[in-house]
Amino acid sequence: MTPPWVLAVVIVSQIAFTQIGKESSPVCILKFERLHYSTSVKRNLGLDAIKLNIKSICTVPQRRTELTATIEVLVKGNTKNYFTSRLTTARSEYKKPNEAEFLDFWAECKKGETLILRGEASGVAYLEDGREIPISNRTGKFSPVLCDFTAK
Amino acid sequence: MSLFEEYLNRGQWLSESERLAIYKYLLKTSKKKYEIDKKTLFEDKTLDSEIANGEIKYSFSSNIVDYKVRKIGDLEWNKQVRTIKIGRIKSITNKKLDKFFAQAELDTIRNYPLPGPIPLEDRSFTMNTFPYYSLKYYSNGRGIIRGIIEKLQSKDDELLTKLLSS
Repeated sequence: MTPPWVLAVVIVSQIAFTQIGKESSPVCILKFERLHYSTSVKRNLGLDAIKLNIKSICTVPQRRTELTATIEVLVKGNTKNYFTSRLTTARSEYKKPNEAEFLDFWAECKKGETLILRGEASGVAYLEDGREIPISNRTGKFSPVLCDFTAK
Repeated sequence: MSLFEEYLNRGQWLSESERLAIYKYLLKTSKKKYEIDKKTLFEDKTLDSEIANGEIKYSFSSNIVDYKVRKIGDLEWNKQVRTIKIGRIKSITNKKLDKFFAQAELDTIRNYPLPGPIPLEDRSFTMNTFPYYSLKYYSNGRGIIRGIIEKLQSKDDELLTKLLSS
């Protein structure tokens, strides 16, 4: 019969091994705000625009995230490209080392028009320790977005 | 206030074509300043510069020039933002550095605009991954040949004409 202390050592070793495994596998996700009519673009530039805000969040500190974002529009059952960003880099700030925020993705729209839209983005998160984590996500299914202020 | 000074307040609200126009404007109009900057950089191995509400610190070592930036008054520098390798041919090096300086200034204007009527937000330092002097900018990373074609087909934003004539 195996002595209890041997069993205890085996269990503790397994737990330790699992924890080490977790530390070596950082996770990064892209968190999307819903696609929306941008009151800030209207206020600051006088333009009607749909905006896509994205945050790259990692479980460990990152240097930066590089992303290409796209917005697709559904027209008569067909998917068309509405906006494609340049490959854009956002750096983490020392106050929030695990995050990089993208607030520059917006495309003009025709006031009063309702568009059926979906956003997506893909790229790479560069961690402080030198590792690179591929990262991608989308807003979900196509949803209607009114190109105008909406009553709250 | 000149038209250029007005655009120093826009920061994150500059459109892609406006940013490119400002880069080209800086490149065309800052030659004399960049000549002095290059001399300082090569002699001192470092160069401090300011534009809009940001400070730029260039470093030169082993044929590599890099820069980091911070908001004026901040203690923390943003880590090395971009680097460029320079060669031994002086005329090529000079052109490369002119473009590098203009790109650094544009990145700084985008992230650290002058306080003004447009409110500023706390946000991540954001930039185009590919600089304007790279053909990859024009192809968005999809090859040099495509970059050449896209560059040849690109037209200057009317803002560039307005800036140059103001």
